[in-house]
Amino acid sequence: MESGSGQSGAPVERVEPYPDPAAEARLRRQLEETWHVPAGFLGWFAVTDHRTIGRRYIATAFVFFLIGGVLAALMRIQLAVPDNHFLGPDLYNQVFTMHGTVMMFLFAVPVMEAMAVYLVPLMVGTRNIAFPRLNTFSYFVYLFGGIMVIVAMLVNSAPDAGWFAYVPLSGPDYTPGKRADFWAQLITFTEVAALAVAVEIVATVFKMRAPGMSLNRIPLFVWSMLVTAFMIIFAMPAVVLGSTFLLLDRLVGTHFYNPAEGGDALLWQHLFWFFGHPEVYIIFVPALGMVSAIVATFTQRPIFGYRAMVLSLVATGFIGFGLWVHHMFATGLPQLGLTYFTAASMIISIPSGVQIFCWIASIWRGHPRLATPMLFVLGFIAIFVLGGLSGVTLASVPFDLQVHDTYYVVAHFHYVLLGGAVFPLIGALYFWFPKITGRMMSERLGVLNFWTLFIGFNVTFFPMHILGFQGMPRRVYTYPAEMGWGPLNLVATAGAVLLIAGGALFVFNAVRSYVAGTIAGDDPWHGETLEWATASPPPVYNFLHIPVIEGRHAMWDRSLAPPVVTGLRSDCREVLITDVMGAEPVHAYELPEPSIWPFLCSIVTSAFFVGSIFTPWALPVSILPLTVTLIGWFWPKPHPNLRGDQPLVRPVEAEG
Amino acid sequence: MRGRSTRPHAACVWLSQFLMVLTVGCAGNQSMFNPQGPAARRIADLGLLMIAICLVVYLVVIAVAAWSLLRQRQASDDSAQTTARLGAIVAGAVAVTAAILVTLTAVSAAAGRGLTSPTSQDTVTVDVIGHQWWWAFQYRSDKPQDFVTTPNELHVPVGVPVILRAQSRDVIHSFWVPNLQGKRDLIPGQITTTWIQADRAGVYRGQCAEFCGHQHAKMAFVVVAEPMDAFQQWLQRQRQPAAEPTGDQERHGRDVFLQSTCVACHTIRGTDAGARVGPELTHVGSRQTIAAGTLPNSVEHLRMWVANPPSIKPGTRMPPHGLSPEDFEAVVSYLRSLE
Amino acid sequence: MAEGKRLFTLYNCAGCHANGGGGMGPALMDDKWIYGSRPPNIFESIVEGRPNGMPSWRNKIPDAQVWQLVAYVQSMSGQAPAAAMPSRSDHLQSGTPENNRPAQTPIQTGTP
Repeated sequence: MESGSGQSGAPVERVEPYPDPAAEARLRRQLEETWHVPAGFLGWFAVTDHRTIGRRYIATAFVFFLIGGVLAALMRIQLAVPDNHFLGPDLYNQVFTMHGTVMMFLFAVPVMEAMAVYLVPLMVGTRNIAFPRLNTFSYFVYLFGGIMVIVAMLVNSAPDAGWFAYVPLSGPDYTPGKRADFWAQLITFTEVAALAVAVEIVATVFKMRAPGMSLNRIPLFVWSMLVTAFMIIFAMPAVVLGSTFLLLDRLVGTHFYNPAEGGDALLWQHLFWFFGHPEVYIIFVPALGMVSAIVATFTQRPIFGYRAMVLSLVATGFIGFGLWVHHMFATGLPQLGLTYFTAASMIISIPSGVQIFCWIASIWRGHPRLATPMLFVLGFIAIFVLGGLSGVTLASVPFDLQVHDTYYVVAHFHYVLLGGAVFPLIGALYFWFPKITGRMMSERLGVLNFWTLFIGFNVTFFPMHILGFQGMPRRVYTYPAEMGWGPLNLVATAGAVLLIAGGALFVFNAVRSYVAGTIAGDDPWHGETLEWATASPPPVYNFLHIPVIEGRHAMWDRSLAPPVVTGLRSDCREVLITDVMGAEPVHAYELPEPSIWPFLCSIVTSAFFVGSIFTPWALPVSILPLTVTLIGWFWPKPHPNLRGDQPLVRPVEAEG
Repeated sequence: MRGRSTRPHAACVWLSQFLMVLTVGCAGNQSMFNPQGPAARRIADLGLLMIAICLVVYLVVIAVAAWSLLRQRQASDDSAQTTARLGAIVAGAVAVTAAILVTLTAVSAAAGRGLTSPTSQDTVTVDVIGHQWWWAFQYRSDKPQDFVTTPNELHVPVGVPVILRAQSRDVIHSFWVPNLQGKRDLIPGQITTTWIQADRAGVYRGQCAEFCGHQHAKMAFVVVAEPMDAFQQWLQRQRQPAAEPTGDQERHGRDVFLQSTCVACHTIRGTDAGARVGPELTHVGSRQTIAAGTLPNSVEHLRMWVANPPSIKPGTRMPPHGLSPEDFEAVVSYLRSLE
Repeated sequence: MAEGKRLFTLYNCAGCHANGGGGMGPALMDDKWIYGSRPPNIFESIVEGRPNGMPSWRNKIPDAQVWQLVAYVQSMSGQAPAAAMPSRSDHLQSGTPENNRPAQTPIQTGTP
């Protein structure tokens, strides 16, 4: 037995587990009851368990991914041949705007946050995510925002000014109706949801790690999600501000973007891209964490250069905020400023390069096993490095002035987003599917899935580099036959067919494996991080005993009888709060029970957001219901076990 | 079992990617790799250099990654010495990366500096005014009555830098003729400047490169480069008012034009038609294209366009005519006569 | 309505009617309607012209565009659903944005 002291001075007892089995069984039953997930119809709306919310988030994000994919298919059909009449310009404009909007706001960021919601509490060794009711609220706000914009699409009112909605085109004069208002309000929905999850991630990672998981022992995936969460917190406000200005211009008659009255059309671009560039790193950095997790497990070696990897993640997060003007090189800004942003856009390749080199070094000294997740990582390397290099060329102002707003840029960002984020994501889903569902995905189908996606992706997007060189601009609903762009466009459409097949194959594999896959067991891959220490799927309470971490690789550095934390109550939802640097225990904290109020609050919030598009009365009318739901949400629960003056939050006590 | 059966998989992954990279196409009108002027040539050279460097880097990275995957493992791989050596190699790779990036930044900045100002002081200045979904090119002069506005067709003298002062009447557009220069946005409320120069006589196509609404896809223009004296002659001809119609049908066409919806939007200098909603038609017969580069300028295409513009450019503000067939033919022949 | 607003400027209706405040021509954003405020009345005013200076635009503006102008003219006095009316324009502010104007009950002041 060892004991240590928390900051409060109270002793923490770290005992070897496996006391008598009867006590274990009793503990298990009690934890199951305390942490139970509410059942029944109403219970579904009240769940605050991070695994359930994480699963819902992932599933919902994938539905939006499929919708975005269908929209892309429509675009490719229209562009397959010159002068096509499959989609007219109005419909095409809505389709390509929705494709970008759905993919960026409703799929890419939420799915990465969803993986964090599911995995981070497990990886840091705690029972639930911080602020669980906020988590529930965030999911429903996201869901309602997505539903709003899909319904708008179905009634021919989808936004049609591009996912970036430049003014004055998206302003009151040039986009009549409510289309751009739906777009701007979708931003508000998804920003609120994303900020909520970001705050939870920061709090969980900083304050709820298992004892012994000091900063230099945090898994690389958790580091990547921490960096991402900070990027979200700093980037999202810019676009919230910009979209609010747009809404005010459109609905109330302000002049933020009206040059004739002192506004500026470029203000929009600065506000949007100050968010927009970190946004792509918000999507990309979690994938870097996933790649690290997969490479470590499938080479059975720690990732080479842990400190360099962490610093690269942090550096990417910082430098990512200094690049945004490279989206505006054609607007005639002063030369000195442009040169600065060229330099910054080049420099950000260095941390990414460090990561690639460290992974290659890890592969070099490890014993690679080419299971499906590892295949996707290899595909990521092949595709992302190409995308990163085309990005380096785009950093050059003269070159950018030729290829900006052409299909070269479309090729570039699909290489870095699909290759750099979606391939690791699919690999990560193959990797963590056993943990989430308890069953393995089919390896044979997985290999086929990989090759379909890999070949389909390259056939679709590589020709677009050449189309860009040949002068084909973006966002065009058709092109003349005499430009000679027809053949390559047809090739790209053919590749898209393969991509769709790959997507369908993934869904098929997932569904079939969910129903009838091989039972996985706790740790089918001999993983490195803590989530593999508990059952698959994890019980509602995550871990029977909160573990004490003995090294950087929680599973590989574990002793034969690893120490655990005792003293946490199992009759209420208590978690251990530890300190930021060394994860020394500080105190125990009771998380709130599941509740229907976050869902009700999200209903009122969504009604307010949607209503304010149509009438300014939405604000005063919503204030009262909002207050009521917030009161219900935060109503303090009388502690059932309070004995006299005992405070709710108390230091962990040693048990006899 | 350890990966032996799946090594060919890995090799295929790398190989296919590598072959993909080798195919780069060029040539053609509106291709940036078919430069016809000094600015575009500088950019094309820079582009080729960067692509070559990136290709080499890519191949090296993929090759090293493939080798790392396929190599024979040794017991010494886990030793501290190997780890230290790996560290040194990674650090070296990062240093090489940084050096390449610094070089690319410097090369790009150098190319950029040569692109900001025109090659000489003898320049011609043209105003570019973007509308939804057509271009107006205005040649100023000392005498205001000598101003020339040509829609959708920009004539430039060969070998002379032409400064373009770009502005927009509505939303953001972008002026881009890849054979000659990088693009420049047209932003309402500001005037942005760029310059182009054609070193060879010819016709170069350009297109709007910033999404501007329904017909962004069909907002093209042509740049006609001709020797200086031909250019001056053209300019002089453009300054003339519209040609007097010679035949009866053309005369009738002019009357119909002036009495129907056409006159509400179009200017024909020398007649009473002075509206500035749509492009100026004073010399429409001599243009290479109509409808903002969408159609070649022939009788058939002119008929198609005037008969039903929304069928060719859905969303356009130009309505279908409401004329009888004879009046319609008369108007078409009148427009054809406006050389 | 938004298209009508654009046409209002392009066809220089503002030359006489300003941006609703009138001038040589009567104001269009108040509640006084000489020839009737219903869409057919407005359509006729534009197409036929009216005494005292309103020109006839027959054959000058196609019918479809006249109806767009009719819709916009109605919105100038707040006679349209608020959610459909245009907001501020991208020019110098010449008056309250249409969707912020109070709806005026039309008063007939002449014989249609």
